[in-house]
Amino acid sequence: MIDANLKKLCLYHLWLAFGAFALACVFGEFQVLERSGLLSIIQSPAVYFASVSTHGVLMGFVLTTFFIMGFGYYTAASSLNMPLWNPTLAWTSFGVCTAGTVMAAIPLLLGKASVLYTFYPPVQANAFFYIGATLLVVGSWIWAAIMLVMLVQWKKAHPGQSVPLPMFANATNCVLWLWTSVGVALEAVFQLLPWALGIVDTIDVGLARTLFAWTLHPIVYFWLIPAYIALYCYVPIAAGGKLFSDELARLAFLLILLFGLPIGFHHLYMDPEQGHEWKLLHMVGTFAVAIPTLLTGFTVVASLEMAGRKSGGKGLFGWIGALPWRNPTVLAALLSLLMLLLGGFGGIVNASYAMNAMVHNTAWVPGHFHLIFGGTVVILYLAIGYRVWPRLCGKALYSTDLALVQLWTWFIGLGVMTTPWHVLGLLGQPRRISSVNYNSVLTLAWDPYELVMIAGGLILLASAALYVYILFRTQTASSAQADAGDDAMTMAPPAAVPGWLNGFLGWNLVILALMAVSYGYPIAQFFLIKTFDPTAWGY
Amino acid sequence: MSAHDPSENEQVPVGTWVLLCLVALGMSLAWLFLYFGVFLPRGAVT
Repeated sequence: MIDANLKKLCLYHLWLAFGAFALACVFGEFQVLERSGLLSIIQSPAVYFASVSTHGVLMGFVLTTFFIMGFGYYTAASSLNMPLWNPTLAWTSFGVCTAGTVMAAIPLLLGKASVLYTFYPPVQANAFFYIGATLLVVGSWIWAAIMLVMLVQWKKAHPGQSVPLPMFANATNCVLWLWTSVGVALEAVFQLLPWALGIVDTIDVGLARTLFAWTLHPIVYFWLIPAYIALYCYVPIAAGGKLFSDELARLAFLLILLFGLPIGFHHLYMDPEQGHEWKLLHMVGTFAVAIPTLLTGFTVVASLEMAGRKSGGKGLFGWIGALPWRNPTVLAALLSLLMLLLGGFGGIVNASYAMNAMVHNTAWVPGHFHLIFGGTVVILYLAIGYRVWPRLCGKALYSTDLALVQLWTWFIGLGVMTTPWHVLGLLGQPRRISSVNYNSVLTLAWDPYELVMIAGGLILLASAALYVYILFRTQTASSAQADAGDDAMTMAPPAAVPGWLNGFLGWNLVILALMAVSYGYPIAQFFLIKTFDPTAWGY
Repeated sequence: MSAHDPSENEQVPVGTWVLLCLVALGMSLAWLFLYFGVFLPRGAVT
């Protein structure tokens, strides 16, 4: 049930998200140009690190958070067929998040928060950056609370019925986010802010990195779940079929919630503050995430196969050609799955404890990250935008052909940009550096790859600009189209699913136990082991 | 067509199974190549 106020709320969130996205693409292209050293006039480490920090924050925190919130409101109201609970609170959440974004943006753009989007100490940012980031998280907590209240209200009004799959997934994301964000919240409140405000002189970097690892990996699933909502709920219908199994989809979301949370230490494989046994434990958990990923791959591809066969596809793979490739939702899903496949392989290499040493501090890592984030996640955000914009604006999509061009160019751009990035990593190019132009025989061999990356970045920038143009022209078109109605997203859900696939109360206890095992001692050790500091947080 | 058409439910997604098996095989081979062909020959970190 989407009224005018909710449409406005969703559009505000989504415009802010995609505005940040487009701006971040401009910064991204500047970065590949600057780092290559091919244009000496723009060489500036200070500007580079300000740019890369802003790019990371815009993409990783602003695009994602605002998109997930806006799409979350849309998903809840449409799939539950009920009005938004407490719109005033929802607008307050938007205001808090926007204020936080502006507060963080000022020091970022002034070069006072060039700490990359991971803001690992001992690199320090201006206090306003940490306050702004904290406000963004607090605003998102309000959103998560609104979503969970709506879930509870719906369940009370529909006893015994299964929660519609889109909302089940949306609520999974809220629960995941509330657990995920605790780590970075503790780091910000007890370490970064007191340190940046001068209340303490220094902080325990090991503890800070451990707390951030708590957040750093599961946040990827926070970003990913809306993309999975599209894969499970939009794509099968857009392809002309139906979801292969509602129950498998629910199981996949629950397993992401369980396995995705206690596994952050694969980001710390090269760190000294955690023992090998803990890293090994987290590695096992990291590989366990392959299970819901495979479940998702199977369920979505099987849904597509059913749709393709229904459209006349024959033989083992004839159904692939029979799919409606000219449908933006289907095209984005196919390209997303392909990039998930390639990026997923990179992830397996990263997660392999021994082999991680080969790629850990190299260009391989940002190459992998961009392929997964831009390729699997963002391309589906773009497709969701194409689907919901006409429903939010009451206008037809400006041009399906242009949308297809935009999706293909995004896919090609990512391939062109991230392939050399991976190769450069294997050749030993370090990451987190502002210039690769050392004028040695070794680094001169990197130049051709840098040129290709610049071309890839240009394609991506053009694609992002085209995306914003299509949305803008859709919204500002003079002729309205017939109301497409609320997007129910799935065909009739099963009448009833087992209780354990329909709620989260018990699962929170399981998560608590898993988190206690995975993070209990690794965090407690900072307080138990005697150090020269008066407190573990710093002194 | 109803949401629970029995004829659809009886379909086995053979293509999907084969595709996923090929993907798993490809990933395993690529991992083995990187481990034995690139990582180990580089030797220990010194």
